[in-house]
Formats: sequence, C-alpha cells, structure tokens
Amino acid sequence: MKNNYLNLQRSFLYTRQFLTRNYITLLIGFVLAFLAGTFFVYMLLRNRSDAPFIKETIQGMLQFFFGFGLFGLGFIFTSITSNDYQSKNRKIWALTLPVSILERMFSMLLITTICYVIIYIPTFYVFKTSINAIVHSYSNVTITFDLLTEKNFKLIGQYFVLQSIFLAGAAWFHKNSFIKTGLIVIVFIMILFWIDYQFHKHVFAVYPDTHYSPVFELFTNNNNTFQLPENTFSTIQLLSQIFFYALLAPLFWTITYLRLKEEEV
Amino acid sequence: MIELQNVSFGYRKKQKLFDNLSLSIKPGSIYGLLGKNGAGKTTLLKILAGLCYPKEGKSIVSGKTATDRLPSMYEDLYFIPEEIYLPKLSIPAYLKLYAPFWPKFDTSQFEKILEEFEVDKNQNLKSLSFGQKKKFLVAFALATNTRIIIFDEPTNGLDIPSKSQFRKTVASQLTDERIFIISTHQVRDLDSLIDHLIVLDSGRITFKQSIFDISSRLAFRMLSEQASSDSILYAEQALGRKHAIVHNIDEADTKVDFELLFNAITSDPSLFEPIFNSQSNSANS
Repeated sequence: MKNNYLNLQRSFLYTRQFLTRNYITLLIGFVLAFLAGTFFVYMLLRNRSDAPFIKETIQGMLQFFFGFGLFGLGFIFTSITSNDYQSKNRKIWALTLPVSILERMFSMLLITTICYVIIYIPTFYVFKTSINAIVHSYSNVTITFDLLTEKNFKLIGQYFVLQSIFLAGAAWFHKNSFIKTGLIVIVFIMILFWIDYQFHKHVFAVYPDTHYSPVFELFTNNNNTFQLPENTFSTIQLLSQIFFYALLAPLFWTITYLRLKEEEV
Repeated sequence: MIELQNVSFGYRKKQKLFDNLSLSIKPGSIYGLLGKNGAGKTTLLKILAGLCYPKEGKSIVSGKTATDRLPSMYEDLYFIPEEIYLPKLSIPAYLKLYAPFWPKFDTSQFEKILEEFEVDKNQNLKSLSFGQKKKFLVAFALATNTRIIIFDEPTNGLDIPSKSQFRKTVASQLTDERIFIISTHQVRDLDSLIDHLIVLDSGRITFKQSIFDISSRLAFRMLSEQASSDSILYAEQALGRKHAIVHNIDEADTKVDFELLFNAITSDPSLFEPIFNSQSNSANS
C-alpha cells in the first residue's frame, strides 16, 4: 500500500525544489550579514589601536555576531518557507504538488534547522578567519574564537527550539511573517514578564522589586551545574525550563501542522 | 471516479453558494462546465480538487476524500487555474525539479506537446508571455498522465491559433481512463471538444447531458423570422433570422450551438427537463 504520509523520496524532492528556488535569498542574507559584521569591525579598528582592547572587544563581538546571525538569519529564512502561500495562484500550485503535509513540514524543519546550521557554521568560520586577517593586518593582534564550544552548541539548541515559533508564524501569516511573528513574540514576552512579576509579588512575595523571570533565566544562565530544586521556587523554575525546552517546539510544530492542514484557496 | 456527495458550501455563513449539490463524473470523457459569472464554477472545481473545504458533504476523487489532500490523489489529479503561477526557472530546470513528483510523467510527450504549441523547450519561464506560460502548463499537465485534469478557463490569454491547437491537443490526449473537466465562459472554445455538458446556475447543476444525447434530442436550426412551430423550444433573433432550438423529431444531425443552448438553459432551467427526463425514463425502461 502506498505511503501517503511520510515518504523519504517525496520529502527529498520537496526539499530539493525549495532549496533550488530559495538558495539565493539565503546567500544574500549571508553576504549582507558578512559585510555588516566586517563593517563594524573595520569601524572599531579605525578608532582604536590598543591591542588588549581590540582583542577583547572583537572576541566579544564575534560571540555576539555568532548568536545574532544564527538567530536573525535563521528566523528570516524560516519566515520565507510559507512564501508559496502568499497568493491564490501560488497556493494552488503549491498545494496540488503530490506531497503530504507531514512531508512539507519535515522538509521545512530539515532546511531551516539542520541544513541551515550546517551552512551557517562553515560560513561563520570563513567570516571569523577574514576578521582575524583584517585585525592582524591593522594591529598585529590574533583573535582566538572557538566555534565549537558548549556555549555555541547551547545557542544552536535554543535556536532549534525558538525557530519553531517562527515556523508556526510562517504557516500562519503568509505575508511579512517575520515582522508579524517578531512583534507577537515581543508582546508575548512582555505579557509573560508582567505575569511572572505579579506571580512572584503576590503569590510568593519574593523579589517584589526585581524583573527576575524563571522562564527567561535560561537565556542568560551560563552556569552548567545542575542542582535539584531545594524549594518551591526552584521547582517552578525547573519546571518552566523543562516546559520551555521539551514542550515549546512540539507545541509549535503541532500548530504549524494543523495550520498547513487547514490551508484553503 | 469523481463524486460530489451532498456538498454545501458558502464563503459566508448565511449565504450558501451550493446547497446539497451532488455530481458524478465518469472516465473517458471531456466535460464542459458552463455557468454565468459568479455561478461558482471555479469554487466547484476547487472543491473537486480538495482546495476548498465544503461545509457539508464531500468530494471523492478516485476513492479518496479530496480534502485529505493525499499525495496519491494529486499524483492522479492536475489542476490548471485561470491565473497561473510558475517559479522563476528555465523549462529544463522546472522539468528536473517537478516532473519526478508525477510517477507517470512522460518527457517525450511533454516535448511533443510543447512543440505543437510552438513554445521553445529551453526558454526561461520568466520570459514567457501569459499565453505561453499557459501552454507550457497545459503541456506539463497532459504529460503528467494524471487520470484527471481540471482546466479553469484554459483558453483565456490564448490567441486564435493556440485555441484551436489547444482543442486538438486536449482531444488527442483523452483515453478511456482519463477525465478532463474544462470550465469556461467562452463557450465557442468548447466546440468539437467536449462530449458532456454541465451547466451550473444559482448554485445548482441545472443541466448535465452528453453531447450525443443533446444532439439526438435537440436540433439547432436557423429559421426565417416568420417561422413558427410548436417544436421551437427556444429562439434568438439574429439579422432577420432566428437561431432556434427545436425538438429533433426527424433525427437530423445538427451541430450543438453551445451559446444558444446555454442561454436557453439559463433563461428557463426547466425547459429541457421533460425532454431529457423522458429520454432517461425510456432508457431505464
């Protein structure tokens, strides 16, 4: 009996046609990010020449560029996955391709997570090497920035989770989905902070004057030591993090799937 | 092979475009779907193809529920909309990327049809005119060898020789297993192409007959203006003469005038009911 739900050959064909039609967008994104990063470094080098400062600042900048580029370009690239649903004619063309919804989703996920990261890391390596060459020619300083660190892998893991929000956004909004999803995420974060603050203030009466959030702590926590919760507060903190990591992506994947299934012309 | 079962659909909750609509389409035929502007021809085709979800009822295509949008269904159904989209690729690149989605795709057949349409097989799709794009897509659709092809206003944007070529090519590609459904408001484009006529009016199928049955029961004649006869069912004035539909009592072989027939059906949907009902009754008995 014919497999109508997840067929590797059809998924491959769908992935191939998407990459063939969209690789230029990704390429332009990489080139622009590359040029912007080089420009910032160049401006810094024109204004400062003291070696210790340059070394420390540019190493910090590279770390920032790595995360910013990974998330920024990845979210933009994810947002173009629904371009085929932008107009009625295009939607008819896309929906009548013999590919199941699961295969479409599987391909989209593959392209915007694993394929994207596989391309991103070598590109960033080239960028880092170019920056190092520029810095060295200006101030004889050698920049040390290791790409394959635990911190960067953690960032990639966080990208995989957060990317699911933009994937759902792309399925939901067909036009300008990056901006629309971004705005919704900002509003959602503000509401979450407010609820979090009220929760701590009125339920636990702790940290009434801080903006501490158990949910968003995971973005800033660099302490890799794992400790069992000692009290209710840390239990909530742990549960929030587990919820965030384990449930957020499947939740948004489900939303994406259902939205694609409901798509009509 | 295609069944619409008690389909109800409306773009607004309280305003139904179709209510309890049923239709059965069998292989080996080219169906012409006619209707006035806004009658719902395109919507009906989209429901058939699983692109619109009916509020009630369902569309069954080759035994599969259309709204499930299974890959196996689209391997057997190709939809050519009125306004088409094609990615910015060359024709060979399009073939390389998309032909493998249809297991029965025949490249030599595609090239032959494209040649008949006088479209260069190495051109870039972006540089093609609207009419050429349409011809490309018709060639691609026919070469997929899907059993069902739905054409929505296929001749819009085609020049006169291309319309004629379209009719020839489509007719030549029909097999006993295939169904072609052509929706159009340019009824003359269906001349000598279709073998079944479906008329959609006010959300209902008001007429569905084979051309053979139509021509054996009705005759299309040009009469003098003074002519009057009980056998005239419908007539339109034309330059001192009358275009008329009459009972085909003498079993004359006249060419079906789709425009006249369509006008007659839409002016009085029940006009031909007694004629075709009696025919089907006698056929049943």
